[in-house]
Amino acid sequence: MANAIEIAGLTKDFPVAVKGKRLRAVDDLSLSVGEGEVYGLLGPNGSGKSTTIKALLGLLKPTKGSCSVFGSPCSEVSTRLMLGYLPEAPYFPRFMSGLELVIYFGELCGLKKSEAEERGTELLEELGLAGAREQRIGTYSKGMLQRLGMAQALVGDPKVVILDEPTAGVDPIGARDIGQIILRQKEMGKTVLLCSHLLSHVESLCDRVAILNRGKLMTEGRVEDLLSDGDASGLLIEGLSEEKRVRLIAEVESNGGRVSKRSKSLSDLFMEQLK
Amino acid sequence: MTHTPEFETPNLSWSFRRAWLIGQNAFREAIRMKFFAALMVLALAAFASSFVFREFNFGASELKFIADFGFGGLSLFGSILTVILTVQLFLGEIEHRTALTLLAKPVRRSEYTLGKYIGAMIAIACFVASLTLALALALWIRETQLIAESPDLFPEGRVMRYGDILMFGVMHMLRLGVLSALVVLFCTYATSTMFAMLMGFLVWIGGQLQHVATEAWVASGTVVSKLGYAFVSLLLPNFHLFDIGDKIALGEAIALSGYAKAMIYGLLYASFYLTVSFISFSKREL
Amino acid sequence: MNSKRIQFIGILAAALLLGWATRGLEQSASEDFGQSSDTEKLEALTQARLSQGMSLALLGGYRPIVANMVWIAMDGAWMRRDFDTTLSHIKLATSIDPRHEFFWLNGARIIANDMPTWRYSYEEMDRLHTTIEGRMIKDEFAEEALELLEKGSSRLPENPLILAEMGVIEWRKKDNLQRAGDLFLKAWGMPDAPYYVGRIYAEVLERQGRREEALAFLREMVIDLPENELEAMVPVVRERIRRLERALGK
Repeated sequence: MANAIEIAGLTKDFPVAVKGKRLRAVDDLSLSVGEGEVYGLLGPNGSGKSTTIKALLGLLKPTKGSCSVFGSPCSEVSTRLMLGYLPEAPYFPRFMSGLELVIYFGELCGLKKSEAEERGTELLEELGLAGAREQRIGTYSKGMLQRLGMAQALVGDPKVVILDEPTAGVDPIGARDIGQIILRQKEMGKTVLLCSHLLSHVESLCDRVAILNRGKLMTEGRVEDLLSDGDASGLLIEGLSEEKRVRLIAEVESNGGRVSKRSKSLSDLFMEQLK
Repeated sequence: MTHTPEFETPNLSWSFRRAWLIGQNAFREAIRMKFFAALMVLALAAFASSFVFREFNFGASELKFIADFGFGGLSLFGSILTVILTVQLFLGEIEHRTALTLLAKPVRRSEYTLGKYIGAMIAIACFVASLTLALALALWIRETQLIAESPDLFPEGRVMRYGDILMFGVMHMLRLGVLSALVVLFCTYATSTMFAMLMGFLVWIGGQLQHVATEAWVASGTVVSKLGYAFVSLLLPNFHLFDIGDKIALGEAIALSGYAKAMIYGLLYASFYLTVSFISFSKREL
Repeated sequence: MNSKRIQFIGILAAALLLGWATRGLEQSASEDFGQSSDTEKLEALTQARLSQGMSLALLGGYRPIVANMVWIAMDGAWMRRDFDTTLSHIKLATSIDPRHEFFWLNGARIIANDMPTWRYSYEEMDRLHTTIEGRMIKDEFAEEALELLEKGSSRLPENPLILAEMGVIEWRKKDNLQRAGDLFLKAWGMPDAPYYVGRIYAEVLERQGRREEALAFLREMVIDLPENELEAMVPVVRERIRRLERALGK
């Protein structure tokens, strides 16, 4: 069976102000995402992540190469029936209520109004927006907007969900909740393509990741494989008393080794305090 | 046992329902825009001022003047509203990136374009209908007063043709419909709202004066000027064609065949510009 | 050539083709609506150099107000005896709003009556009537006024006042009683002609020595005159009939 997402030799050039010159945003990118996988797309700004996503959504026409979703070419409008998309920093009409927006997008995905309403209500509840569903979007906080963005992405019950920076501007609790939503999608058998700057987030959620730089694929594979460095020369030691730890450090250093202390991350501390 | 593939390429036919949904939302957005209300108030104020200005008008009859002034307000403010509203609804969404979310749904570009056009047209129709009805009502009240004050000036009863005033509204809608479709076409190319608005205002003025180019085409002597005028005349739609205010203000009868022909003309142009917009927007990268 | 340029040329060609295909329909609709030409309006507009705001208002359809504003501006020029500005503004006002006789009639009166006097100082005003040069000046302006009224008459062909005003100029400024008589008769034949036009026609006939015709005209005219309308001046008409009858021995 076809892969959930298949990108083959994708190249995208943009014209620049100088005549005849073109900027290559994505350069011969090939990757495939299997059904049910959570796949992370990483890279600094300008690495070609957004262009790749736009090509998948059919918003851009590749200069070369192709993309498909479950074998259906992304240039076809019907392919988008299988796609849900959360853009980075989503912006929605401020005059609508959260539920109205989700119903609107649901209807655009082909649902009947009653179905869209039912599904929208369920989703908003699941995403913790039940209390705010009749509220005007103009009054939503950034985190609420992000959750609403998730709701609109999921309302058409897509097989593949593309999330562009879903945790941007969201507090750590919000980020954790979004992480749980992503895992739930995985449990439901959906394929998730995740773009995020929050590496720990990607690390904990993704089955596989690809790292892009200047439009090229730098590396790609399972997270564990990419993070293991083969010779395992670093060790994490836990559970020793203070006295034994001091002795161990002295022993390591006398043998020419190095010991560095690991402190808690701010994220760990914050989460601990709020437990 | 054969296994049917779980996912097949779904079939998705062109849907007016999706365009209508987008149109409804565009309309809701339009009537919430501040300048929509501002122009409505401005047009009504300009129209109300005709009751003050009528003192100015040496010799011209009062009802004609009020009618003329009302038609003027509709034409001027209606055109400004059409250009700004269409650009805001179409390009505003692209600038705010809401269009990305929307077009990432199974929505065709042509459905999106038509939807935005429908939304703009419903809002413009509300504007034109309100002002036309207000004008007809004001004229009717004033005419009733004048007949009561000096019946000898109205030996044959009412002089204003109210049916034609409503037809003025319809003709005006057609004119704005063509203008809006043309602005949509510019929007499918434009990357900035300023550019689209500028082009919109230019074609409004050009279309208003197109008939002058047509006359000059026939009258001019040299081949070069003839070609130049012919080019302008054929390229632009004739907006002056829909201006039937002159006749109505004078209380003259208008041939029904004229209305029918102008309608066909307007619909042909609006459909042409929309069709070209569909093609142009389908090729646009977002 | 890149695809964008090809697309642009294609759209341009299709738009021109549509323009060509709908030309007949456009002309036919315009004829059904009885739309008039705006070329003159534009010419007058370029001559008078209106402000941009006024041009926009004109474009928007505020014709009466713009015409009135132009008329007010003309009034200032008239007081300054600024010949060019007065004339260009009269022409502009009539072309912006040609539907009302006011601009045509009063414009022609300014041209025919006031403008010739601007050629002389107050002290020398008599020369206008006594010298050949003065008569030529009067004639020149009378022609200008008649030309304006001629245009007005073509715009408002059913309007008797414009024809009557032409008759007045032919009579008073050009001493052409024959032509004046023709114009008054034509005006009198129109549905809304005021009663005085008929009386003036009879007067012009009389002044040409055509008393029999004047009497016949007045006798026929008085039959239809309403007794109770002051403007019809029935007693005056009857008195003139009697006077003519006496003079002709009838």
